[in-house]
Amino acid sequence: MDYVVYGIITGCILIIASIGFSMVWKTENFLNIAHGQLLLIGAYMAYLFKSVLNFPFALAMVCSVIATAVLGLLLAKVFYFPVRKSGILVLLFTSIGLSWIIYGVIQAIVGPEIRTFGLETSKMIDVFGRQIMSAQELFIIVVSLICVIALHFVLTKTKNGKGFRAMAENRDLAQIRGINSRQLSNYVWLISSGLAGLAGILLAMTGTLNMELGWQQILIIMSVVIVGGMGNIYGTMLAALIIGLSMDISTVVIPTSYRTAIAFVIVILVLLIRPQGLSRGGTA
Amino acid sequence: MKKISLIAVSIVTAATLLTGCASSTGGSADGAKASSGDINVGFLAGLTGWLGPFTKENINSLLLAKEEINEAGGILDGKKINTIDVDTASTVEGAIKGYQKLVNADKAVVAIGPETESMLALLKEAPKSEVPIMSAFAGSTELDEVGGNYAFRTAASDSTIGEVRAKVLIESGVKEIAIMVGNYEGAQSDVHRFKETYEKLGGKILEEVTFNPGQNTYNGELKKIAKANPKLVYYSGGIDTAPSIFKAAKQRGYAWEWYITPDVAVQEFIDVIGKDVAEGIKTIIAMEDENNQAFKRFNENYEARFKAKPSGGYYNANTYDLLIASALAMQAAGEASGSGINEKIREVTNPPGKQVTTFEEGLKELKAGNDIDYQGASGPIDFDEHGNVISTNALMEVVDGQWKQVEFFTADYIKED
Repeated sequence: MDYVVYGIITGCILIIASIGFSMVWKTENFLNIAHGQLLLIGAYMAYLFKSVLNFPFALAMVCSVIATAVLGLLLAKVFYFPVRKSGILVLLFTSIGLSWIIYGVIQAIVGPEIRTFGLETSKMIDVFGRQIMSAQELFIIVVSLICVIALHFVLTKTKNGKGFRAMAENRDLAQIRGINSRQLSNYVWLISSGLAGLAGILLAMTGTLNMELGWQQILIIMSVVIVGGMGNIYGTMLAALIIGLSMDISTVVIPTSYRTAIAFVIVILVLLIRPQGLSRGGTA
Repeated sequence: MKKISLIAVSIVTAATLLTGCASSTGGSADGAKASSGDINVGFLAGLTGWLGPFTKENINSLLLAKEEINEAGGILDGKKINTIDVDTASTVEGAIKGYQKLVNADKAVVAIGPETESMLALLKEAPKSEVPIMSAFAGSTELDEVGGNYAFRTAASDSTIGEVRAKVLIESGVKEIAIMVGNYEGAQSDVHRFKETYEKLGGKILEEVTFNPGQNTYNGELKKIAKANPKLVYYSGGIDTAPSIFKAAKQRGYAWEWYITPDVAVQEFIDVIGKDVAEGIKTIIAMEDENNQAFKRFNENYEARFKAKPSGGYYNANTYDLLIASALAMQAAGEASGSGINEKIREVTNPPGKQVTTFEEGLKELKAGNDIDYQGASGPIDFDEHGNVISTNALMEVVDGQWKQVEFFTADYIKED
């Protein structure tokens, strides 16, 4: 039972980290490698607001998510939009280059020190006399659930959400039908970057702010999106949970050093058995 | 639009290349000021990346040694030492590129600083290039029997520290423990000899869990350890993973005692996991003898020069000694070259010879035609045939948010029965 709880926590962080990557793939049709570095930006933005500007942590989180969302959109406008028509390879290499730029700039600013948010160690929550998870881990699950529900609401109930789904299915057709693709694209970059920033904060909450955070996460994020069916938001959510659970439950029977490898074993199996991923590849 | 795209791609490509270069080769500290007669010495280390917290003070230590040498008149009739900092970004690739830069572009005579993995990668290249590699903090057992020819270290081997650690635990009645070890060479090596000696002395390893750095959580790994119900857990991993592991263990009420690898026994470790979580954590670390005159003098000079005390456990004295010993070796060899250092370094640091504790004393004796035995700030530094030294050690514990020395062990401790 404990390992299931651990897997859910891992999965919840992966959900938030992966959704944005999946959305960008679906609308822009390229692998945004720099998505990992947006996690790094989010984490360090929160550190800036909390530890440098002395904001309360909750407010620092909100400010960081907003700042990362805006910065993500700006980066897209400067680096991706001008080369959009040059094809996905150019976009891919641009994103790799952008990753290194973000990494280098942050490193130049923050230096080599490893930092933390300096949060108090949270208490464990008892359920029927059994310690299930810490308050911090419950917070991660709740935040993840709120994000999933909010995103579902946005995708199904709002004009922009419906536009996104239409554009994800067929960009040209959506444009012919009068959907403002430029506005929608901005909207996707904002949500995607904001979620990446949030994931970075949650990761740094459980561990440290270190320069490798973005690189460490991007491969596992790609695994989640591949397993979920490239660009399928709900498939990505499901895949994040499956991979999270698989990695943690697997440690019961196999050495823990192979924990990460399990994610890639699942990717290989999915590619062999069901190349389109868990879902059929649409938005929902 | 095509033009804009081309410009954007060009900028990104250029920036990527620049960033890559910056992380792999870094810059020169005072290379621009070097005159043609100067002797270039490379500091080849991770100024950024996971080694960054250590090396920022090591640069100062090297600078202190350089200044002492130059103020004493330099070597070989007035040649001055010039240090060049090369950032490896704490990667082996960076170390290889940086070493090539030092050898081919900077014409450096020695590369001080590589950590274990980089030392291993450069072992074969160093004799070919005739530029020795010298490490102040490569403790891996992998280097126990492969160095000695263009490869030296003033860091004690994990073998000896491992033996000390095992003996201390057994003697204090801890006969059953669990181990959490990172999935990389440095951590595995740290655990290897300790485990071997501990089991030989009658200790039992209840559980050994290997973990990968950079995971979101380590709850599963901790649960595995908890199932074995150990009284003490030995942690060998990085500082970046420590908060996730130690905080989660505290949250879950795991009340076992922690011993940690010397590699992370620095103030930053306490800062990142929190004072309350760190309280009571112990380590056994190669530690300079506080009664050693050379160590006292090094500390005083460092503090006077940099307005801060050198941190214990950062291998500052070890770094300082490498440059002093190299300079004395070149003086003894009569030439400013890597081959000269390789040939004479044992002669100036090992007995027999008149014991000297400063560069100035050593230079004076060498000029007088006497043999010398340099007694370093980090210890006696007597290099064996494989370029290793034996160190003194100390049991350290976190008390009130700081590392405090609890017990000191002489270099003979592991020989005692």
